[in-house]
Amino acid sequence: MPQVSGWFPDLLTTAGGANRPRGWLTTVAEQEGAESVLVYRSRADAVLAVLTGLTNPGGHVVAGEDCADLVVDGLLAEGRTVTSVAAAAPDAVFAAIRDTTQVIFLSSLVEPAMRLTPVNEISAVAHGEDLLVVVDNSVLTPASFRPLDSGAHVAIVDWTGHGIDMSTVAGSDHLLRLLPPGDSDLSAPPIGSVLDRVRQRSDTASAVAAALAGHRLLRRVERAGFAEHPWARETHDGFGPVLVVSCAVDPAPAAAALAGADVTATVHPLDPSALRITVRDGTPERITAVVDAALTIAAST
Amino acid sequence: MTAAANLIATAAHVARASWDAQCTTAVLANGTPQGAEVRCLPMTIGGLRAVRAFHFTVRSDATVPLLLTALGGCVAETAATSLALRGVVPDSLVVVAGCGPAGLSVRLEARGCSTEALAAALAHVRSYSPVHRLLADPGDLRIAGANGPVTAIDLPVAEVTVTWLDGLRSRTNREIDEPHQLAGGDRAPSPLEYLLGALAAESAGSGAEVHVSARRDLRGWFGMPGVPPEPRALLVQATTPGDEPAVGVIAHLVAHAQQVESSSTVLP
Repeated sequence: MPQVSGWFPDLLTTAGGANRPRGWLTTVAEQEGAESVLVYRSRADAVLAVLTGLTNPGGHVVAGEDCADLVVDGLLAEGRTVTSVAAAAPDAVFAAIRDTTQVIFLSSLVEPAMRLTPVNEISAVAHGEDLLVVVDNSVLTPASFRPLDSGAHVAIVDWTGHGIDMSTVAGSDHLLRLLPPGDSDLSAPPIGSVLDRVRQRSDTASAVAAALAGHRLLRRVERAGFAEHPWARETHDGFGPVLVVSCAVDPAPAAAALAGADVTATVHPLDPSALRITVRDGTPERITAVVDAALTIAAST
Repeated sequence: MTAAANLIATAAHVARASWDAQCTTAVLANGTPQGAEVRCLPMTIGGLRAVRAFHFTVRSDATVPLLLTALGGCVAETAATSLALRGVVPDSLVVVAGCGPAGLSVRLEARGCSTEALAAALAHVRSYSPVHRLLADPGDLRIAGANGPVTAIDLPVAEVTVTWLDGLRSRTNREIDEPHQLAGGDRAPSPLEYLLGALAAESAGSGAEVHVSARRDLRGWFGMPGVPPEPRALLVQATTPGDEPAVGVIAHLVAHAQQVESSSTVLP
């Protein structure tokens, strides 16, 4: 075959990495174990950018039911279709795969049951089918779980719940190149200290969950743990700062009573009888006490 | 990111990751009394799957014009890429692809670029356009599954004019584009999909279903030495047991080296 000069540049010496992280994103990339990182203003922007960038019009996405609502409208508008599945059940994920499926999009932690998604098990099958696995790791963050280490192709973290008002997308450069460019002008506080805080809050949340178990005004306390997910000892270092409590009383007054306390509490959007509690600073004892007080107020209203 | 910058980034990646350079393109044709309905199947690019949700109809007397559409579209995208890599965006770029008893021809006509730049683009077409290379020099190409030997045949007279639009996109009476995973715009089937569609349509008798696929190494398209840019194997399969794919003029054109006259002209 004749070789003609002046076609593509010398590719082996061409620097790739148009999305090579700079500044604070370098730390995110190191924590995620990623080659590249993009940043977007919101979780919705990040998720839509990833799912449209990694698919084609006519493509199909299998999405966990807890995150499908976020993406369905935007993807349908872009000519993609979505099938919603129980993310923590690999068989349901595999059964939803079609010949037009391109991406499996799952949360690493499925609310409100707080079940861990076996990303490694799903990724193993996805690789064999030429499918991409995208994981929303917003609750756990790389402080507790690194999706790329478990075979996922892209990891999304919405940092809003951790005090930073933006979302990051981590993965290999050749995949992130397919995405809209994001907003690299956004800046953030040192991410290392944020992750230290997430680890500390994760421990606190586990202690609070243990203390609230059996509470007279609660039906259940949902909190991921190694007892329910023994396989996670190989992949997880914690379970994030969130717990979900199913209330025997109306959770709305309890959420209102917790405003301004050491936690962020809301009625769970997927279960109106449950409180979603994100612990902030404070000892497990103090947080347990304020939650107990809020539930007592709710019981008296 | 422009199509050229996107292609450079893709090329730089696959130069280092040979698995991600392996690209399989496939179509499925259902034969009808008038010709065939062709559906593009998902394209795999290394570990990526690019879904190609395109359908097109091929009349049984229009397989050669469809092959010329594939040739002209591939020449147009290769020439446009060559010019873009030099920072040149022509005012217009047209490819006239023809077929006759003497063989095939492509004529490249452009406005708004230098004679030297267009001549270089034509040289790049001859070396790196996958469809041009496949037709001009199939080498040891294997067409697996075709029924019987591919014998010489009189070539019909036909001509197709392809107009480049932007990026890797061009049009005749059909639009031509690449998937965005290969720096295209996801608007239409690729040149290679049209070529496979012509072959599948010819191979599928009325009521029959034929699957045609081709595998190529993208490193050849990007000029990596020692890697051919064109597909090295085509697989033609009847999906119904007992059916045999038919062999006709498209199989002949693909399987045998064709004389491809090529020229370029800068228009005033």
